[in-house]
Amino acid sequence: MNEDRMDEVLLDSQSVHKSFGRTEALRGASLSVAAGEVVAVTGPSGSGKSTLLLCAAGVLRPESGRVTYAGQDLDELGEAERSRLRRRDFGLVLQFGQLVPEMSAVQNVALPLLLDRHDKASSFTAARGWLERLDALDLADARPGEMSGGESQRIAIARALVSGPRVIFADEPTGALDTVNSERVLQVLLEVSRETSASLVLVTHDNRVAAVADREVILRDGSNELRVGA
Amino acid sequence: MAIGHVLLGILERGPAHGYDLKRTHDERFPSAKPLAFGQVYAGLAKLASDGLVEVAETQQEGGPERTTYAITPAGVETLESWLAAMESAGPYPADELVRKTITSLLRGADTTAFLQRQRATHLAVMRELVASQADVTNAAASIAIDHSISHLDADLRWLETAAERVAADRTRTA
Amino acid sequence: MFALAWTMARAGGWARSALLAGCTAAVSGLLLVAVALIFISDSADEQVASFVRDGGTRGGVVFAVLLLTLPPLLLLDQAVRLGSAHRGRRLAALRVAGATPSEVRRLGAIEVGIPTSVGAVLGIGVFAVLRGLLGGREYDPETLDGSNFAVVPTSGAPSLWQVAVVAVVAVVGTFVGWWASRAVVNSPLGVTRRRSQRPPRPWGFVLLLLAAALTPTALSVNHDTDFVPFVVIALIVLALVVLAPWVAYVIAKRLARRTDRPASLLAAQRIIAEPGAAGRAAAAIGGIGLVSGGVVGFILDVRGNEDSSYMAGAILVAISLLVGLLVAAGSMAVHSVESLLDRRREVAFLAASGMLESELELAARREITMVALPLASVGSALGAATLPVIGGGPLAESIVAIVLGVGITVTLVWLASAFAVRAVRPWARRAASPLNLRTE
Repeated sequence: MNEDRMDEVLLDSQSVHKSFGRTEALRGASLSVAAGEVVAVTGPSGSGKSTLLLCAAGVLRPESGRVTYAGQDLDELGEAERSRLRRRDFGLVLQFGQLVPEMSAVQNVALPLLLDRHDKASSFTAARGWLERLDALDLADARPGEMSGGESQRIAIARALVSGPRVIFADEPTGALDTVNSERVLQVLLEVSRETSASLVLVTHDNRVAAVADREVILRDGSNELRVGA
Repeated sequence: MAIGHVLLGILERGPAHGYDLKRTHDERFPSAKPLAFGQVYAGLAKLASDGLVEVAETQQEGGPERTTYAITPAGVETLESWLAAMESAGPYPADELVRKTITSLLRGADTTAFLQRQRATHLAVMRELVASQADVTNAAASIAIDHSISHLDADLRWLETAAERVAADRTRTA
Repeated sequence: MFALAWTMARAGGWARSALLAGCTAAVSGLLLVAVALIFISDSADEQVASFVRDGGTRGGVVFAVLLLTLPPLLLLDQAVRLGSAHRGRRLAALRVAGATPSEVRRLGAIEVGIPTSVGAVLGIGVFAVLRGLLGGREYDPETLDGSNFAVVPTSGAPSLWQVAVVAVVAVVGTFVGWWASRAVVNSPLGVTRRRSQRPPRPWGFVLLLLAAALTPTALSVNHDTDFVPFVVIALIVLALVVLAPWVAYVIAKRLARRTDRPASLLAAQRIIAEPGAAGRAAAAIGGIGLVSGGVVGFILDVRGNEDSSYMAGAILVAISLLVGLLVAAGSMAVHSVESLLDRRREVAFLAASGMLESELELAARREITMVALPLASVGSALGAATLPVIGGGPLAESIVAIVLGVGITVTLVWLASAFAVRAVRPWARRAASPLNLRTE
């Protein structure tokens, strides 16, 4: 990262270690993101990209290393506080399987606001607004099972954005989509990040997605690729 | 002859003069290098001598002379047979990128550094292409950019695989 | 074929097989008690509770025992469904590998048939235990009155009927397994789950009308129609079971429109998508409420009565109700486990995007109580009101009976839902784990 931007670092994960059973997913990986910055995290499959994203987003607790957000060490927060932080300040988009299958699109999108004790009317108005923005208003009453991959991904993005997050975490958001649909999904993420100055962390193995980022962080075997002679 | 065929394709829609041809070409292939006027006039001269285009009109109103060209029936025939002939799918000749990578690897030099710098260069071009893709609105231009992106993507993926193989090779010999 | 089915059953996990066997054992044991009651010989030298010896009330005891099989049957039904998404995929994989539809059906039949057959035989053990605890004693002139708790006759020799009961239970269990694998058979690509089901329809009202039509006959004192009250109760029970999904659907729909509590919304939408499970459990709980309300009324009525056998009967019923309630709550717990296993990724995502564990648990709890509490309240109010109203007791007593009946039932249902959610917690924690989000 550029030295003169270090003072506006919003999200900072340093030397993160995380294992699952005997598999060491992360061995000292680092990721820092400035406010409003778009960062792509790339690397071969199994390099720990998703794990790093989940650690930085306060979903997983690393065994060692330091994860901070806006200067706050996430390890010092209890589970409930971390949940509230994720609910209010972060938006999470995954490749698939994130919508509640029994709930309609608009209910799925309104859910984060309802969880945050917003009243029903304003939550659903906001949810409809986001659906409209994503050209998905006609899907408002459809259930996830009745939508195509591209459609449910747009709903998932609306849900991630509805609470006005300061950081959007997207793990292979276009992984299950064709080129045209993934362009569309990516475009919305970028636009919103630009408009609201939200940071965007994109985990991807797609070079097209990596190319929209301001900066690329490459992982290899659980740690950052060593920059040789750069 | 490739530029000639593209010019025939533009002229088939209606007569045009040199400047129009250049502009339409550049619109059609936004990710390609813009045509130089010299190329356009050289191409037209060759087509005219082969009887594939003819001069439709010559105007001179104060400024320089403007010649409008039109496609001939023979020109249409040539265009059709060009489109009917399928492009060969390879094998592609080893280009400079492959030559450099292999040579650097066999030389025992730090191939990783080379591959990293190359990826950065490729990704920078990819960034421009993706940005221009977001700006264009017509399908034909998008498709032309798609082709460049796909090739660049193939090169990038090849670079990634090369980097992984180099890393695996190093751990094996280490 | 058998070896393959055995492998499949083991892949399904021992928990499900054990649950299947346990439920079947309970059902088969209770049926054996019913058979023993039906074939009790009047001349036997045996001391049993007066309401068992009396031919007039024995029918009611048999009926009550049959009603008791409903909660374990409900749990059995839920257990057969347990892991159905996984099993569906497994059976579908077999279809893709070239198994014919009838082979897949046979596999499903064997997979469920083995544990239920084992359970049917274990039912003999359940019967033996019940006989030991509640069996009649040999005739003893010293204590002429039989124990009030002696409801299971021990005199009858093992009869062909008992063998028949065990065999029938085993066959029915196997048939259920065959039936459950039908869906996969149609499409080798597996069951398309999560498609919205058709909303349930209130056909059960027809049964209720029928029951209402028969009520005057049931209340008449003509001895030729002594069996009619049981028919009416059976119709009401059946109506409750058939209506329950519809009631569940209607309640959930209303709540989903009104609520701004995410836990309630989540619970309501789950019920709307699958009203059957919540409805059936709520029906059982409503039925239990009906009887328990009746028991409270009855106890208030017989308080201070000379014949202590009534009180003993009421206590036995109360204990059975409590067990029944726990089993019904257990069936909801099994349903929760099933839906958690089926949507691990979605649950993990809810947790990752900031839903608290307590909110997820609250949703699971609301899913049980949303339908069960209203049904149990109505059921117990009806049950508690019946006796004083028919008996023409004083108004104050009716009110006390209703308030007590409803209060006790609601408290018990609330406790049962807490118990079910607590029992499911380990699965809920595992489902909410971020490990389920990892794709690589």
